[in-house]
Amino acid sequence: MVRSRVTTVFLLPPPASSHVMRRLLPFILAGVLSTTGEAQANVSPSMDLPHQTLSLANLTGFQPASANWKLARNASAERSRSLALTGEAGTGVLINSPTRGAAGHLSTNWEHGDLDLSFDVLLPKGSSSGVFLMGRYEVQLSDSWGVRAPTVADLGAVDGLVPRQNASRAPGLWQHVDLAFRAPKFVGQRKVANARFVAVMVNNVVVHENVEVPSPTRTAPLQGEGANGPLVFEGDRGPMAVRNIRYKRYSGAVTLAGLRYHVFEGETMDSSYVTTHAAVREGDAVAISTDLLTVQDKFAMSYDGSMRVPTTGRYRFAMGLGWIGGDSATRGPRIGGGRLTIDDKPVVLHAGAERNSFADVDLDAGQHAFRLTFYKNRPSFNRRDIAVWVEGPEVERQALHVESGPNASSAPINPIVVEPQMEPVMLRSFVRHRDTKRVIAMSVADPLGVHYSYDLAQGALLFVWRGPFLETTQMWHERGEAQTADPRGSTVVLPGTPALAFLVDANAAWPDSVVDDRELRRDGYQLDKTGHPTFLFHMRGVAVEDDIRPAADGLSLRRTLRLRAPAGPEEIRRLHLQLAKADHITRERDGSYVVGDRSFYIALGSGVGRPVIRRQNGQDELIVPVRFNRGEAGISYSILW
Amino acid sequence: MIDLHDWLRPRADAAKCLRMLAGSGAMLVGVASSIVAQRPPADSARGPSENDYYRMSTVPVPEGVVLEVGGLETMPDGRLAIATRRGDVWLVENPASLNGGRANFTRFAHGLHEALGLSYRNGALYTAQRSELTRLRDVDGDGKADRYETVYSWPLSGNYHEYSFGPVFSPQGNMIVSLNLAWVGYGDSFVKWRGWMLQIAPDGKMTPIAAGFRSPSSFGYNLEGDLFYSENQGDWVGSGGISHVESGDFMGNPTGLKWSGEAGSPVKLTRADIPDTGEPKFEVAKRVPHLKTPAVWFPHAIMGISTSAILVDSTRGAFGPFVGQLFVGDQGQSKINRVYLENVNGVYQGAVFPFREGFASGVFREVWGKDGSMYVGQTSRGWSATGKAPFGLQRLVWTGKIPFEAHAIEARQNGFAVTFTAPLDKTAAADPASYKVTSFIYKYHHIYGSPVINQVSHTVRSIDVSPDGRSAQLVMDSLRQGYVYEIKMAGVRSETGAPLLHDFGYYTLNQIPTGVGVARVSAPATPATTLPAAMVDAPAAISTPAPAPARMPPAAMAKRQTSIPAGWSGKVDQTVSIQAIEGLAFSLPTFDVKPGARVRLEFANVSDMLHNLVVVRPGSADRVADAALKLGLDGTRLQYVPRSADVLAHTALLEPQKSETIYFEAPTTPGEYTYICSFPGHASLMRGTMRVIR
Repeated sequence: MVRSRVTTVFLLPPPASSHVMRRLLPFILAGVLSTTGEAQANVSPSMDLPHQTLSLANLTGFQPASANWKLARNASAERSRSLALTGEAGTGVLINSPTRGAAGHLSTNWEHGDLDLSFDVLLPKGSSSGVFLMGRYEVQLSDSWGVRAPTVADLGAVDGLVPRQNASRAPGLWQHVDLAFRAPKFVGQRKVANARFVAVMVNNVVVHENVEVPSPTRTAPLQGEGANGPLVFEGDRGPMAVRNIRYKRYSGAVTLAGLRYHVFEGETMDSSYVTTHAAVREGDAVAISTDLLTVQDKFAMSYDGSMRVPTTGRYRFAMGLGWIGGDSATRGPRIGGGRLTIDDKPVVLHAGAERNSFADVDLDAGQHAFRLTFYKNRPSFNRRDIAVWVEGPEVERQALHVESGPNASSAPINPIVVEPQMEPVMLRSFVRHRDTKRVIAMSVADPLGVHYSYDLAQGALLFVWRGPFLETTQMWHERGEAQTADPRGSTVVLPGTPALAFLVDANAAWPDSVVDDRELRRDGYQLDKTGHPTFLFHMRGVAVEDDIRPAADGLSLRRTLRLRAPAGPEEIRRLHLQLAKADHITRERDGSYVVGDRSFYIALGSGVGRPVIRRQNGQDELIVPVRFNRGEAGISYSILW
Repeated sequence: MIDLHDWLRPRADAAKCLRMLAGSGAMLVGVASSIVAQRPPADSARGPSENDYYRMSTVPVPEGVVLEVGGLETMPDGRLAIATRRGDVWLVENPASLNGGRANFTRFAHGLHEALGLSYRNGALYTAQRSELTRLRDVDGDGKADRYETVYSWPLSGNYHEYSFGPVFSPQGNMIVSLNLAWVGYGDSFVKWRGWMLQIAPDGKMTPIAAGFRSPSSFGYNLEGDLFYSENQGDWVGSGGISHVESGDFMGNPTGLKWSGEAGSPVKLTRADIPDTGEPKFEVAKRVPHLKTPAVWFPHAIMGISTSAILVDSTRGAFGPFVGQLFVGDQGQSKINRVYLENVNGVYQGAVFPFREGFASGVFREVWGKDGSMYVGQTSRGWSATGKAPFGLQRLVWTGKIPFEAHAIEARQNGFAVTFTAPLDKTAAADPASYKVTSFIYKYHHIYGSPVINQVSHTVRSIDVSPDGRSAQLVMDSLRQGYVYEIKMAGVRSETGAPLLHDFGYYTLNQIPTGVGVARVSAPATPATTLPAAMVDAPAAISTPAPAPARMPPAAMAKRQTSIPAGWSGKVDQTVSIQAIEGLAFSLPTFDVKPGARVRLEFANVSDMLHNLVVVRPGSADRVADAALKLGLDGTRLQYVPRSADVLAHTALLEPQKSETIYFEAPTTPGEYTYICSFPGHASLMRGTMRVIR
């Protein structure tokens, strides 16, 4: 059987092995489901159990550390000073400052096999370090700022493999790494499976996926292969800071045995049908599946059996009913539902309002009575598939069902991408920004590999990023129902609020958006000889030219605003420019500002004067009044990341 | 350059193809022979082809250029300007590849959001993007636009179906744009002016013109300076057609009326003013002022399925004998129709005729070249077309030969006057048996599309052939105002004995003229003759057609059995679910059944077109599809299922979001049985295989 339609591909969470997809899922869902009315709830990240945290309140989680490893309250590094890393006294951040005398590795005092790991890393300029999975398989943690063509030495490189793209940030900024690692497997002494990185993600983009590592890294502290080993942070090369170390170790699996199924058919199905009616068919089953059904739309099923869980602890069960989605759940009679019972106690009660439902239960290791019932009451989506997942202590999220029916496979779609060649590339499209779709937006690529997205209706930057430019499949394949162009690189997400606003006084709130085209009248954009656009608009009579382009070194994006005001109105004195808005903004020693959780830098150019950081609604804003001189003003600043 | 697409056209001259192939090398002959072998018999057996009069050629497009044409314009210097759905604007020098040269493409602009129109004025190109009307200028003279100027902008909700079309310059120099409805299983207007046509002055001042549009992809002026737009079948639109647009008009889809209270709106109707009774639109228009009925209906599936470009013949004869007529494209059927309009009692009406088919992709835009040839810009992405290429740019050149065609049909007080492009064989032309006249209309309702209703067959009482043999006046017993008249002229011959190149047309009789060219009535009047009862749905009355074919086959089981057969004792051996999905496809390409199995087939239409599912005997799919196409006006009533032993089982013709379950016994003979959608134009893509396996 062949799967019908692209737009349903991502409606169900993919199998648990697809870590990358799981991470990207909420993002993808938003786009896919927009085609069906955007009514469907996203698969929440909380479908997963929380990670374990490696405490950095002290170093007791580690084997005895050499003197180069210290705890600090925070970490900072100036982007232009080589190998200089500082931190204030405290805990929560791990800092490695190797010296001639102290340059030991730092190993956890626990070992792991299969491991999902994420952490933040901050690197000073020119530093190169790494992390060894199982003490053997290294992932490079290097300052790769500005590297156009990454190599095996750059951030995110797995032993000997070049990352797909350089997703790194500037020195002194926190960067995020996600790893899904699977240990080599042995039968007796014989290795039957290589170590494998299911996914390596740097700053939320994939740089490796499903790559095997046949042997330990040459410089690894542990040589020879085994089923377990400690997590080791490299200590003998460059300095780095690490924090927010979170992980899940996996060692066991949940199994079902003695499954019996019952099939029910009738005109009006509901949750009690399986107890009030006789089954039309029953028998033994090897797995949960709807392939045993002969009907599509009006049925109920039950599965009874015994479930063995490997470890005592908290388990999370999730149930997905493939035919629920979009408006189908809210229009007309109840469309379906389900119930999972363990040891006669209801665990998951799927009400049929959304596709997925989940709940937690504490279980002792060993056998438990398992009962699953579900029903579908009317046609929807031409689907009848059921999904049941479980995750637990040291149990990776696993499917208890087998993919079945028309949803088991789908025809691939050739991706459509846009990349600049010799000249800048502009592309108008819808742009997905945080939780909204910006419908009057443009993305601009520069051959230097520095790109941005811009909301023309707001005069607002949405994203900046480096690396590959855009994927347009969602816009140019068939009808392109999402009509979005999606950045292919690691984006720095900017607030997307108007850059310019008239503030009544210094305490007036910055508007989230301009009201309409009377507040901001778009005039379009003009291209210079090199093909770079400058956006043109009017705000209450003030003519604005918004000129955004990368610096020649490709390390930053410079924004220059040129304004002309008609003579007279007092109002123009109220015009302000917002350079940044984030939880925290602090001024660095070199006069630039670091924004958010050391997410990016703002460097002031000409005409800015002295901006102020003001606190508004729990956020810092870096703003400056626009000062006109004979009706003209010019301000420039740069974003570095 | 050898263009196989060109040769694959059904009506290409096979003998010529073979001659050309013979000179182009053995290998190519080997390849192409098999292509030719699949073609219908040589055209010489069928008389002249369209290509003998309007020769089609293909403009070579550079590899890598995705020329999904959204807008097409001829520049004063003869270059073509082409806006694409991917947002590029190309300038094409020497588009006809004259003087042994080749069309040359340079990119003038890029990055627009689905540009669906293009017009040149005073050194600038104007295009509608999704959110705005944009002026493109090249100030520094390097051949590339360096000013992308927003002339006027409008809001968007973010729905993909909110296409914006235009602009077309009005005779007064204003720009006209039209704004599609969103599609969410039905048309909706989530933001201001969706479903409207707007006029924008050069200084950016906007004036709403008319409301009630659904999918107004194309519009243009006739030689008199009146504006017409083309509409696509859908909700509130029983069939495609073209309508005359005047300020204050309401075209029929009421969704956009939520904005009629806005400042500047010339439309005062509200949603509550529009009844949803399923009466013909002209009947409703008697009660609802400003509700506009089409000037010319294009019967769905016969004259097309997605009306597009409108181009008036302003070539002063360079394009042949149809000066002043409109050439109206159809995207889904990759063809161009021809429209003759007249104005009766101040209302436009007229006839639509087939003109030219066989384009490579979906016909979307048409423009005149400097030499009076027609360039045809095409795209089919997202809406499959008969022409299978994803996009195309082709050219039609009049060969100088005049086809034998019905040039025009005009209404008379008691009939129709048909004029021809060549003198008639007066005997054949005067014979009532040479003609067949049928009238019908569509429902006006929120449901997608409409069946043909109130169909009546008319007797041609007498025919008066003009002394010059150029026209024939058909005298009817009575005329039904508001109806569409199918006028078939299969028996008409030219003086030289040639049949018509296209022997039918559809005339929309909005008004009946009085005292204009009344033909003689040479026989006593009798009431209109209706079809046999089984063939007609309650003649001359508003009715709901029977959902099932009027006659069931004499077999033990109906071919469309929608409840479980009594003899099955409630027992089904196998249930199969199949969806018709967007992109003209079935969700399930194949399934297996056992011989004689009792099959329950759940069929759901989740696309936005009409579909059925027909299970046919092995090897008969093309035959059944062809027979379905020939059902013509009877098609919708018969669910486009021909009466044929080839048909084993079938569903009804389902509108979008509808489903139907049928029951049938699988054949007892093992084999591969095909299932198709027999709706015209769909069967070549929409087919799957039911394997009967022991």
